[in-house]
Amino acid sequence: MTLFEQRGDESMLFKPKKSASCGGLSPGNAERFLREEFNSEKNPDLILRRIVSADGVVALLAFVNGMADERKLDEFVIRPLERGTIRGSAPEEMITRITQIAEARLVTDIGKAARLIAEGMSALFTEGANACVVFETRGFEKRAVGEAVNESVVLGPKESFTESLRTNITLLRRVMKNPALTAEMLEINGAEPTPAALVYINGRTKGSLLEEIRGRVASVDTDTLITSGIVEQLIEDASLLPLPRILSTERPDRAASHILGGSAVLIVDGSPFALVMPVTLFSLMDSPEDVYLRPPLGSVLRVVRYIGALVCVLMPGYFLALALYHQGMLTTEVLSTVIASRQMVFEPIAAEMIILLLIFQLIREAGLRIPGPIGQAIGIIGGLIMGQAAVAAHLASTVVLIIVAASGLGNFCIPDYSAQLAASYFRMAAVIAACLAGLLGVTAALVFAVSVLADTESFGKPYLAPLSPRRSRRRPFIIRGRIGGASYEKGA
Amino acid sequence: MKKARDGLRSVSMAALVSLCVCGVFGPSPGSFTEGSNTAYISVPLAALVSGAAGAALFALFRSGGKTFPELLDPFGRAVGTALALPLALGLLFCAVRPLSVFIQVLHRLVFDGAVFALIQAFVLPVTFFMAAKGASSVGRTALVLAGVIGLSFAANMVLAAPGFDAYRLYAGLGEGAGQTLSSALSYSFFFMTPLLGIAVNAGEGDLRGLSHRSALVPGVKAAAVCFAAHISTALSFHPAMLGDMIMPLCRIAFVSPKPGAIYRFDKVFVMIWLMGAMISAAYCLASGARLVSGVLGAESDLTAALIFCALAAGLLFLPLALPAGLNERVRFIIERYGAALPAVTAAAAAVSAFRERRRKRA
Repeated sequence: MTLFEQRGDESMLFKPKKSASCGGLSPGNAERFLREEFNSEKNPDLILRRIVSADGVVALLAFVNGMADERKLDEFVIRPLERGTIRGSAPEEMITRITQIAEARLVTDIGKAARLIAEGMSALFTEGANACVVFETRGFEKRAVGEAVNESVVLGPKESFTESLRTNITLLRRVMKNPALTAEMLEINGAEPTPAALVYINGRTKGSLLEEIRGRVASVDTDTLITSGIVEQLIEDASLLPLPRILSTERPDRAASHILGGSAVLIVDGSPFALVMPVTLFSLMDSPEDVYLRPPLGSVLRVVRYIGALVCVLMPGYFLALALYHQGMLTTEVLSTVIASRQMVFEPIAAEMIILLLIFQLIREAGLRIPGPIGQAIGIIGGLIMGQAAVAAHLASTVVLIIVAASGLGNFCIPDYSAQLAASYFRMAAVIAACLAGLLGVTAALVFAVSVLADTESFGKPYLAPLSPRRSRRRPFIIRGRIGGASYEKGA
Repeated sequence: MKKARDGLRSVSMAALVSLCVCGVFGPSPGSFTEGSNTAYISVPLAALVSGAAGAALFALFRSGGKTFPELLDPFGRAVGTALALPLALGLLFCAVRPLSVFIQVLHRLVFDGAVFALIQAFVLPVTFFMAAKGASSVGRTALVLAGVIGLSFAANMVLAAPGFDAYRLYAGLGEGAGQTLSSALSYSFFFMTPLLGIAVNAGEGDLRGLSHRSALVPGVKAAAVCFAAHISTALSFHPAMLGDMIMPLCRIAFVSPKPGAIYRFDKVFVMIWLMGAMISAAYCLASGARLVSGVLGAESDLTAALIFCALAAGLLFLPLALPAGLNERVRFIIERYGAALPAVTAAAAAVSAFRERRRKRA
């Protein structure tokens, strides 16, 4: 089933001012209706092309300039019509005998026809017909399939999703040549109704999960322009938790591996990201690279990543707790180094840590927002030169700078961007807790965070699975299993 | 069914953490050093006996086909509630005792001279938050943190191992086997109470999973942990030194002849064990709340949980206002005779389950 057919009578982007039947509508009536709908006095985008067939019948072809593929129209609709005889032909015959477009259908409501025209299709109105013929002729400019930017890998496929829904579904189908792979078309109610596809393998993904997703998508009602980021926020489980409960990926192979594992993927038209549901905290920590490396190497990478995440979240708070409250836990040498490095630094160590963490976020934001080489330069200037200058000017101590830098590196080990930001949030919470009560504060904050995470679910799946609730496994979940064996985890 | 199994597995993990915490930090060092330190025999023995007794009770409860609070229904609401109260009180004491020990340790060793209330301000809200969410939620938290807690126990013992000396075990059973057995019976309060918490939290869906393993396996594991902890303490300190200590386990590494940077982790270990104490307290409070609200037929456990949290806070603050001697006396009475509390409720439930089984067979 094609995308065009799956949509049924529902159109997507354009809400008509009124709806009327094409039955009895001559090309002239249709022209008047469409001109009014598209405000064509001021809006020259609507193209209304009159075609005279070989037997002298006048037909009207309507499409939007730039949205429809004019070459396709010219070759497979206009020329066959001009050469053919259509007098007395039923609209069905236009599809089966005259024109040569693979996807075409009859529409009896001119309002729906107008909406389809706005989406890039074209409509043919003929004298005396009770329906117009709508052709799938969309051919607007779109970005070509490019290389993944945020989830780049050394080994493994390079291609990433684009802004085109059709292209994205095709990318998934190219990875999974499975007839049971279903791309169910949905419509999301935003400022403009936006088409989206719920992709899953029929029979493998739980029906209850699909029902839940359909229900949540149907409940979306907003005046905002719909993108995957907006949809993610609107359909995920309501909570103040900063961690994402939906995985946003730009890689078709990653989305496909999750679909094979029983997850469902929502692709929103106009967004180059697929939303994977449900996810766990540990799936956010997985990188596509893990699967493309041999198990020992993939496992080592994962272990390093988890250590990085722990260093990111806990190290600044732990250091601050020791420096402020538990100096006895530091050896004389370490304590002397800390004291020596802080000589002449005017602000308290807690303020210094918080300021440096904020500056780190500042440099990171600046580096992200500025394109390519300049962004890298900002990172170097911010990281090295500013750090050096701050130490020389006694605005920061070397020890705290090293702690913040190590924590920042740990943050970059987290593969998911939203999870990286959430880790920064938890890091700051741990620092504040350490300021307030040293190790006791960090401990209380940690237990509180784990308790909240242990109660969190993503579309009915426990967020900390398989650690809590525990599932029977033959190996620790951080260790990657063999490919092909029963222990190989899809999407791992 | 899968969710029910997950729930019981989580609750069992919370119970295991609670058994270990209560077994290691519950009994006061002063009480088991009379004559000689035989806690490494009496405490694991208490855990094993409690595990075996728990297994037999669970089998009986399961055959009754009713949840624990429902087993007390045939006695009538008033008597049923009265019979449930001893176990609820036991759970409350089991929640408070380790927390109280940790708060004292934090006051003396970590935050020298800090106000008790400030320390409690960080410990209690998180504990009560977990308790209010229920035992299953506490169990899921325990599943995440149990590994770290276990590792910290092991690491502490490994660090302290060079300082172990067998001569400190001299005096053997001290005042005799009778004394050791009597202590084991008393210490069973710290094991029987959290174990019964598993039965209290087992819903109708969990009954099938409520097998003897739910009690015996945690009992054996807790016995192993308690043995390791208490033998390490006994090998590190002479009984005469233990009388004045609050938490000797956190100081055993200091006896090591090779002190170094890594031996300064004592406070980190205390913090990690504190996580266990918080989990244990939350589990006991949630179980107590579940029992009371189950017996009273309340729809939600939240009200009971909040009342239990308030009582626990009161019990933790109360010693500050009472004379030290009175505190010690209360602690001594609970430690010596507390085992009777869960025994009363368990016996009532067992009688009811037995009757239920006979009725079904007839």
